[in-house]
Amino acid sequence: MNSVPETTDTLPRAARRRTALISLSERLGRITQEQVILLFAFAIVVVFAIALPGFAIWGNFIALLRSISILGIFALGMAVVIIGRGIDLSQIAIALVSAGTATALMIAGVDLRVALVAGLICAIGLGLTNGMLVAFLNFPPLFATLATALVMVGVARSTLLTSMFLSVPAELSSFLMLGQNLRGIPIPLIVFAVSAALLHVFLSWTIFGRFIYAHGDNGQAARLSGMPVRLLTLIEYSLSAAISYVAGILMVASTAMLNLRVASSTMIFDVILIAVLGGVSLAGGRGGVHSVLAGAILIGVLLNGMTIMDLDYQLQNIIKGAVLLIAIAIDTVLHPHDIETARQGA
Amino acid sequence: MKLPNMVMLGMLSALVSAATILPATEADAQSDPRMQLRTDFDTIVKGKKVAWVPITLGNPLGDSWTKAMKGNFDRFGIEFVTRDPNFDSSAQLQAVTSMINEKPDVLIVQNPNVALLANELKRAMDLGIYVLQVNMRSNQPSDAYVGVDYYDTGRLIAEDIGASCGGGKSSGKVAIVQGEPTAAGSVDQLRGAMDVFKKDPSIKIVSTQAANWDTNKAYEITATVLQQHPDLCATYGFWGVMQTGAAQAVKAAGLAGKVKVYASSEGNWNDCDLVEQGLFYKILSYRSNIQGEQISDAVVTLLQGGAKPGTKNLIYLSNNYWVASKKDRNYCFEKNATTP
Repeated sequence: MNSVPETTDTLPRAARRRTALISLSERLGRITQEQVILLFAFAIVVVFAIALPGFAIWGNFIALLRSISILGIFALGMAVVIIGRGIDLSQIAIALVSAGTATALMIAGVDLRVALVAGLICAIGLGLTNGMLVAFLNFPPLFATLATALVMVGVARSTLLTSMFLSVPAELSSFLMLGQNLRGIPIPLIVFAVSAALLHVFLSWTIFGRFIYAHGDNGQAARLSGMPVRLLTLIEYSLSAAISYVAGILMVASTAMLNLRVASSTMIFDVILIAVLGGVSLAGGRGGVHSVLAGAILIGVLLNGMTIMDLDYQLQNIIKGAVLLIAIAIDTVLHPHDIETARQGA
Repeated sequence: MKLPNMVMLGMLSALVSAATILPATEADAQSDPRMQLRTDFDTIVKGKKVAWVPITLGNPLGDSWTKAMKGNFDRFGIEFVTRDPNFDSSAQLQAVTSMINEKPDVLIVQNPNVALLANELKRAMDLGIYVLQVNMRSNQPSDAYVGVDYYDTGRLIAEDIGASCGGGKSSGKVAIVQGEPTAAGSVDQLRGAMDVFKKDPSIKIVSTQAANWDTNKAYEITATVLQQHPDLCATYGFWGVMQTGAAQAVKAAGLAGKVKVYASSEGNWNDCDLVEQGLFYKILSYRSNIQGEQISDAVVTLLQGGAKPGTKNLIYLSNNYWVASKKDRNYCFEKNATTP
């Protein structure tokens, strides 16, 4: 009897704080991470619009969205894999290798359409490879895709793409058009919008789309309910690869150059940042296209504002890191840590 | 005379001439200084080992250096070994360490930043290996440096921008696209350029963002800057390959020909193509394939000089050639200068 009041007294402070946080999240009601992030982005927009001349104009709005569209397309692909409780660190590698294949074929004189289809086939092949490693050999996605990224770039470098930089000659103007504007709207932005709409339809309105959520939420339960979980894994990774390929093609067309060095850059973390920031939880089964859009808008606003303010490189990194920490904090409040959902890649 | 006599005479004269000619040739080789020069050179350089660790191969810069070096060293009978760290600085440090352990006669490195290889370069010289640095200097001086004086590059380009944008001729707005902000090549160009711009009140620096040698980042930064400053007069990028992104952003904004795109460049063919297409306004080329020849010269100088490694600090500065139109094409190198 004596021990009961004692335990309540010595309830660990952390646990008490957690209880407080949970009640806070309950009080906040059903507010989602996307809404918080959008609100946050909106607040920054208001501050920038007041403080920065030249921020709140239509042209800058377009430039802002243009600057985030390629990262955003990558993040759409990443979202599919993360919702299925996986992760794809080989996205950038797949984009560069498959877009590089298409570009090399075009430079060699192959017809534009044939080259683009060949690149897409290459991308889907690489995505299927990832999917098979995860689905059939049960490799943890983190390590499987980390390894395949290295292999893909290595093989490409020693065979087809011997140079780290491949410049697209001006004669391929119909290909370079993809990086330009259509009636004042950048084509990469249009592609981002269309891909987002298509993916939203796929994830929300089709059976396979809903299955991906089920797969990510609880893989065991999904399998026991008779869902083809291995097929789902294959679909997730090849869809991510195909979407990455689109981003890769836009990247090459925009700069008229394929830069294989990007494969070893930190770009993949920017992609994950956008997806996770918006609420695609690494625990799987949560978030969607709207999350990616929210994350993309916040990062876009930040990058644009920091470039306008001409902040130096280190300060930009500090701010980006701080924003990620704030996002994680919000995530912790809204989705309190839970052993059941914390197993990523299980 | 009878025939046998003639034969005898012929044989005799052949013997005599052989006797006089043969010793004469031997004596010539010893006394002819022109022949001796090459013999001595071969004695010194033949069979020597040269190790080369650039930041990366598979790009016009690294490949043009390597091709020029390999051509010369093969000709001289020097063993030439290369490691490609593929832009990974920890891999580069490991490659340099393992190269030093192989005890080459000369070690050539391209420093990714001023500090990374400093200790290893010192260790190599202590072990009796000549150390030659290419294009980007380390805080550790060594036997020879072959490369660009990036401060000068920044100064020259800034002066040209001042002449074409300053003095009220235009808005005077200039954007700078830096490389990796800690790399010597980026730091020194910035310093050189800013020293010039600071003195010219008609020039306004509206942006000095770092794009980390990345074409895509240069594109995004420039697109945003152009949105804010459509009356931008010039953008100056610290590397042609990276600045290609800025040039494409200028084109996408419909400002090609209005915004002057400057870049410093190793002089690869694509940068010259862009000048001819009007996407680059002017580039300052140092012709890295000629640097490859300079590196080879520096290596044979060190080998023949006989000084103890670590006692000299020779410097071989690169050229600065302006490329502004098709007629300057000879200041770029073509693709065949990079393919083995």
